Amino acid sequence: MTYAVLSPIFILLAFSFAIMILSVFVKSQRRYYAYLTLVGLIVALFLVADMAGLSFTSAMGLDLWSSPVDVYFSDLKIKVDSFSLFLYMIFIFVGILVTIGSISYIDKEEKYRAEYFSLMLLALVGMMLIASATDLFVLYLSFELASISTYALAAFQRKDKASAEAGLKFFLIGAVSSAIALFGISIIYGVTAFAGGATTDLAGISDALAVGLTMEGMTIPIILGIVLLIAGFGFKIAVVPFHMWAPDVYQGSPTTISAFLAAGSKKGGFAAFFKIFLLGLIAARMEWVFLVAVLAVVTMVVGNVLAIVQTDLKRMLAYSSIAQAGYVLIAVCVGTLAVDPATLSTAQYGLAGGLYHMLTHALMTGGAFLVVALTSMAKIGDNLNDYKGLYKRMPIVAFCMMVLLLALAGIPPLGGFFSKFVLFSSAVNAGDWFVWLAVAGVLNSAISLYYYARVIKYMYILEGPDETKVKAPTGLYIAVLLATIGIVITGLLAEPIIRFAQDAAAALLG
Amino acid sequence: MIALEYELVLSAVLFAIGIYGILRRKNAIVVLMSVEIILNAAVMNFVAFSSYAENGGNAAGQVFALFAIAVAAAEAAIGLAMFIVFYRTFNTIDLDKGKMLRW
Repeated sequence: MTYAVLSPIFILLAFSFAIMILSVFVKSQRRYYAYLTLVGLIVALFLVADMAGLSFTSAMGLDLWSSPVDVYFSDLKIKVDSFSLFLYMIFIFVGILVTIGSISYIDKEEKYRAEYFSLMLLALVGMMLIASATDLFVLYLSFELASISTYALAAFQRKDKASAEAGLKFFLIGAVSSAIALFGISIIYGVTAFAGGATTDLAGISDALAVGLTMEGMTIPIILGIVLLIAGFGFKIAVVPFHMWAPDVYQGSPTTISAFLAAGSKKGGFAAFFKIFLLGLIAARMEWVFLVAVLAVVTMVVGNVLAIVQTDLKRMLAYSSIAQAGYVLIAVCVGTLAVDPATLSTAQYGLAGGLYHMLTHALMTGGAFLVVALTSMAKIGDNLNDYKGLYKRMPIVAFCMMVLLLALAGIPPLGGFFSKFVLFSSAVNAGDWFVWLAVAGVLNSAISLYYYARVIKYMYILEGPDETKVKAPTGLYIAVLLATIGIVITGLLAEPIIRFAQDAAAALLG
Repeated sequence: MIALEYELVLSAVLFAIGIYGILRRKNAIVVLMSVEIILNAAVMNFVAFSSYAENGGNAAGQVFALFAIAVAAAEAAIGLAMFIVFYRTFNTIDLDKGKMLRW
């Protein structure tokens, strides 16, 4: 019965196919596809929570798994442990938020409504498999599953010029980056062929690299492979200088899909980054840790500075999410300390901070994008100037947006503060040059406060031309409320979440 | 048996051609072709290293090569669909014409 731990993945896959097949036979009542998707996601979330320690099924007498789950399928090269469960929760929760938002955002009579939800579920399956992969082969295939599904989603409003352009840009850049990543993987595979046994298994790669580094003339191919991997996977998480696509795609895509890309798909990229660099390439850490550290700082600075000059809210949020990716990269740098048993706990704390920040960032950015979707649905618009006096027109939405923006800036009682705190304090604990990463992070948070607070100023202080109340579309309204409640709860329950994230980090770093 | 060096040089040349095509060409289909060339370079690498590693070939590399070809096909399918969508709204697949989203 060990295969039961894969049930969340299989359930989402089954719902995705079921929706796709249903759409062929059932031509009317398209609005029910959203509810069907929601049912699948909630069941999957329940199963994941159960595996993580809710233990509802075992209390009922079903002997499916002993929580917390830690199962390795050596033939499938898939491992379900606390690390993957933590990420499953993020992904599925983002899926739920976006699905609820899409109920009102995607036109009820849209001909391809079924495909929209089906592709979204497939992308989620891909991201969940990334979080469980222990082999570059599985990782690459699931990465492609997640990417290819989202290309189609970005171009979903195919009559709209911006959406068509966003889809094309997203596809071309995604295809180029995945080709470069594949070339990098092939070089790393070649290195393992020379140093012991040819393998694509992440643990095997780490062992082979340790041997390879001692061999004459092997350093250059290793560095080449690492650089290509950073470039290939860096595109997905929009690390500067591979970030150019992100603002364009987030602006042009349907806004619910922007939320999905920024909050969900980017986290899938991080999962891949953690797996590859902290498991596979950990032996060659001296070759890449400085490069990743520099990229982290540059990403923060460029993201925050360019966010200041944006007037389109979707672009501003896109640059802000680029900057946030820089913060999470700190976790990758601190995570390299895991090789030394003396600093293992610091590394785990750092990676726990990264995971925690991924959770809060998914809620904050997802919620903020959904607010933008809501205001553009309510015919208010998605430009900064349209937000003048918003609190008189939509008091609750304006309040939610304020909470989400304050969380993004990292204001204390909210989840965004604690996750940043763990992340930066782990860098300080690590000592050495890692401290500078924390300094850069704190300075950048100060910069970011400016453009987040500016939106709040527009909403609450500036007078708008129009003060009539506007009714919000129900689905998006619920999604925004859920995200806001989520970010407050992740702040209030910081301690248990950090403990859970530390278990997850320990599962990855060992 | 062909020496490993020749195969690696060929794959490096293919990779360089692909990168050149991506950077220089403006036609979306040519860019997609360049991407496919890079993918083929990677597949070349996998097969070459796999046959170098073991007599008869290491299975991991060969399987990876086969699946990479399948992924390339899936990517081409969605890419061509995307080009049609772009063509219907812009009446061209020249990448320079997609200028709505800037800064």
